[in-house]
Amino acid sequence: MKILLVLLAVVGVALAKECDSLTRLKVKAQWRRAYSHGHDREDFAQAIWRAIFAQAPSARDLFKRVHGEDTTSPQFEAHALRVLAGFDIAISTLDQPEAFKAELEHLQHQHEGRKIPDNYFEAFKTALLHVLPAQLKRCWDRAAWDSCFDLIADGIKGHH
Amino acid sequence: MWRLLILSALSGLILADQPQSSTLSGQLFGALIDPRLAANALRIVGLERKLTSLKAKLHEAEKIDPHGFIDEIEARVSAVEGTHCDDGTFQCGGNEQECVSDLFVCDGHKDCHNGHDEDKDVCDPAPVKAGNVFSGTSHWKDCRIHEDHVTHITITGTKRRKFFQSRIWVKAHVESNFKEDGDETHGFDAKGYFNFAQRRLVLVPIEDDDHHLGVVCDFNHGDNERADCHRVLEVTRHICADLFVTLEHHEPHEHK
Repeated sequence: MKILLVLLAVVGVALAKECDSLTRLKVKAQWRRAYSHGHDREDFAQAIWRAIFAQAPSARDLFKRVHGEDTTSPQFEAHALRVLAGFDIAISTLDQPEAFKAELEHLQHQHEGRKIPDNYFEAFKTALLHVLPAQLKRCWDRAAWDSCFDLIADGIKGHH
Repeated sequence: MWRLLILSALSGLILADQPQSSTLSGQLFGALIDPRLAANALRIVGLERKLTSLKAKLHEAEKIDPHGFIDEIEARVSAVEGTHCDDGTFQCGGNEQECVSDLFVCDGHKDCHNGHDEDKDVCDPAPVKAGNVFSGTSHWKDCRIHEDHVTHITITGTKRRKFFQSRIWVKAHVESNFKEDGDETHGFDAKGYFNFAQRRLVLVPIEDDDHHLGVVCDFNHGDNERADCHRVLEVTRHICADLFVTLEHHEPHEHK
């Protein structure tokens, strides 16, 4: 049992990846494949938001203004695409520290005062980490996404 | 019950055939048993023989299932026809031809107007039930030099997230039987997913230090038991080997 625990700890350490510069490039490249274009992008966004609301149904209340009750409404579709566009900027600037910082500050300012609990960010992360491999189909690095997503989410939340 | 009846009838028949039986009981039986009854017993014996042969015929009939046959032809023809939908989208079928993203197929929300993306037969998770073993012969045409050999794919575990249901995340063990460096079996653990829209199972080796190749299986024969698989290079999806697999049955098929 002890050996198993130690083994798990070792595996855990081995898996915990930092969002270093190479990892950022990897995430950036994989995002480019997943984010795609046209209809595919709308569907990708739709799938992510369905997965978020399935985990945290109460989060819909925050999106009343953009018709969060129906994720297929044009208003919500537009919102979902706007969110991904913001996320796209953050990912695209992962390798340009100054621009990255500026984008995160901008996003943090946008989210300020909305009283978003941390578990909603977790729901977003879990949703993304499941829809991404489905969209990418192959060649994706969960650990890389895990660490770089946290970096972005922490930047938006303004705390860890 | 049948046998008892026939046995008693037969014994009666035998006894009835010996009218000169010296024993008292023999004479008694001989006198009591009607010849017509004896003839009936013979008929019953004949019927039982016919029943046995009928049973064998029923087993034969099971093998050629017209419904399954039509399903297979249909699946094959529609594969040739194409779906008219782009890669990564699902054909809603029926009278309305509509394409929806495969991220929405079987996610609990009707996205096709006819609801086909949530149909029971589309969303049947049967192909990737844990414990399923698929076997077939691998024929290598690229990447590796191997004689044709048998490969077994065992589904060892599955997970379907409640909040994202359009994929089943799968763990499996892939084993091949060929001789190399004295070892006869070469296996590796793999993980991947099952995509309802394409009826496709994708498996990629976990911890690939042995340079094993991924497996992609399409359940395109109109049932949940047979699949066309390929061993592919993960990055380019270049096909290295063809492998047609069938589901191994848990119980022996023969009736005892």
